[in-house]
Amino acid sequence: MSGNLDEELSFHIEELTRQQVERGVAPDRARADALRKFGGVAQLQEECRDKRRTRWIEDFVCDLRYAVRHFAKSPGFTAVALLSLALGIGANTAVLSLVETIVLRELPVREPGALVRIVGKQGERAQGSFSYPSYQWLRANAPIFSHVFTWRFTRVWAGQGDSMEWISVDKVSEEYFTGLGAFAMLGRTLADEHEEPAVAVLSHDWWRTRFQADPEVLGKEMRLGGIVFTIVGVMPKGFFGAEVGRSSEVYIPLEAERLLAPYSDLMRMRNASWLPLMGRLRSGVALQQAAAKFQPVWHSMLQETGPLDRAGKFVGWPRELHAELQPAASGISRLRREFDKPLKVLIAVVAVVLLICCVNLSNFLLARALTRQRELGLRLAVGASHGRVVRQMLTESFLLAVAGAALGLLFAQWSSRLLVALLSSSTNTVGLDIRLNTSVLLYTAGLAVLTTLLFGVAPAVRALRSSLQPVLKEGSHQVAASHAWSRSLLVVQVALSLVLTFGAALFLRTFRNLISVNPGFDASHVLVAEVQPIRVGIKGDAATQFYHDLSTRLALVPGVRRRAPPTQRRFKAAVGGIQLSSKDTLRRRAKRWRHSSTASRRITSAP
Amino acid sequence: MAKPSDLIQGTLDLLILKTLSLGPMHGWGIVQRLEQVSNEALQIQQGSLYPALHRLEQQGWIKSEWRETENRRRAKYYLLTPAGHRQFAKELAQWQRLSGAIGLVLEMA
Repeated sequence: MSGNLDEELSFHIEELTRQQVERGVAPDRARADALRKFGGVAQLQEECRDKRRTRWIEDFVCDLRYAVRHFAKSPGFTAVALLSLALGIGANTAVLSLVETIVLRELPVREPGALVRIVGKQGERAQGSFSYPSYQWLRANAPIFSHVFTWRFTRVWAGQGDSMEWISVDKVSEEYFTGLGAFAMLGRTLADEHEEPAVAVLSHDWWRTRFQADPEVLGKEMRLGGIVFTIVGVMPKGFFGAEVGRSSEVYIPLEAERLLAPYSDLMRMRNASWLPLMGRLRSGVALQQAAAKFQPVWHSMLQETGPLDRAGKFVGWPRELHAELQPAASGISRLRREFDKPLKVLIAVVAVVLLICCVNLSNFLLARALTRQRELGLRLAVGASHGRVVRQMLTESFLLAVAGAALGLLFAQWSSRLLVALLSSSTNTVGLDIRLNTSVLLYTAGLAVLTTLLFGVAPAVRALRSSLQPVLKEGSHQVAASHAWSRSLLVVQVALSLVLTFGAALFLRTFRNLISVNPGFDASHVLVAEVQPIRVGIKGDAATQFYHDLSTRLALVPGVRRRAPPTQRRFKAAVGGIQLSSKDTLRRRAKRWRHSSTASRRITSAP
Repeated sequence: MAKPSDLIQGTLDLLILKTLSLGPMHGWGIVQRLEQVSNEALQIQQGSLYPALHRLEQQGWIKSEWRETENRRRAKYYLLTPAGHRQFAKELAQWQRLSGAIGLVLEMA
């Protein structure tokens, strides 16, 4: 287009020249006259170009290049600005990713909206775990669900001899995989394994690390809890079951319990509440209707399979519970309950951090705008409109924000992994798959735009108020920043920073108290061991003898000063013995230790 | 770079449209014609002619073509579009109303 314009204008100039020559003027002078008469060609071209609609893109690119040069000239300031933006935006993105993963994200299964968790409620009281007979009854007698399933997370020793590993295993019911709508990547998933329960399905990560992603892994054997299991399938990447924050290495059938713990009555006991209940609603069934239709079924279930007291009589309390069907599209998670408040606090904190960053940056840019008055004055004098100058400054802010956001994304990747690590303790490792997905990226982009506006507008507007003449005359003299804007920004910044600092100090103090809580006894040099003789068939009197023998033999081990007889733990069923665990979990169980036997107290009070 | 203080922008548009309604013309030709017809009273600043031509083209009232002049030189000719014809009629009517009204005011005693 502009080539055409040049040609058009030069034709006009030539005609004008020719006209002058015809009137008798010398050719050179004629041309000079023509050019002069014509007016500023460059200006004309500029004006014509202005009329074109693609102008604003060209302007934007021009602004960007200018902005890059401008920031390159002061690397120190640019580095500080980028770092603080990266911190603010990155922290917010990381926290949002965490929230999205724990609370919002749907399970990677077919139609997660149809999944519900069955919970018994009575006012504030909620019962989320049930017995195996209850599960079986429900599976057979609840037609509103197309599938009913359950599972139990546990840890077992895998392998044998010196290469044993303590891994996480999910014992799953027959309809677990079909109920969730998940399919195996290799081989098959588990269904009714009553005939041959010693089969296992591997998780993707475990298959990759322990079996080197061997495509011939099907049919191979592995030992779990001393029993040989045959591998029949591998799950695809990203599948982690129904519980967010917990993912197991291996999935085995619930029926395998009778192989792993042959003397345990757990599967028959009506009083053992150890299994969550989840179901998939039949298509077309709405949650409200389903809940209403389910109540009578639920009460029948409690009647038939509810807990019994010692005399074999039905224990009354569950009758008052009514069933609640909780939507479980995003799975279930203890993390949500445990970290509800901390997450909310974290969201508020990072939002304030971002605000401080923006205010800080705004102040910086204001100060710089004052030093740039000469440059801006010149632009205005040469003919730039006010809008143009504001656009320039906004473009600079935008460039800063975009660069900061890109750095922030990198920071977010790193810090979200840190956050997940912080969520774990030594006994409960949390495995979360925090991914950058579109919603998170959009959020970050939105943040970038918002911060641009926040810290870019004030300096831009301020820069325009500068008057032309005194500035140009005084040269690059700095005008004192006694402007209401910068003073109020400073106040806001100091206020927010103080709030955060005090908050951080209080938090650190609480945290310190938590990790060094005094358990009421001297816990140094105390070891606790957990032993479950019932799993190898020793119970009743034989168990007492076993503990006695163990105690005697322990006394012979050099270095043992005293040992305590076993204390009861939480579960009344089957498990009892000497506990062995590390010292920090000891601190957290301090409350339970207060109920320990006198023998234990004797140990721990001695120096 | 100054805009003409003698002619308001709207009037220049009107003059261009009128000139083009008589036949296709290039920019130089328009300037010449207007000078001749008005006996040198109307001297169009080239600096305002071409922006006006481009604006009129953007709005779709005139369109341009490259043609050869009598001297076998290439020049950009402008023509009036049908929409331009209608616009010309409208602006002419407006101008006549305006100048009539001014005339009445000036004649009053």
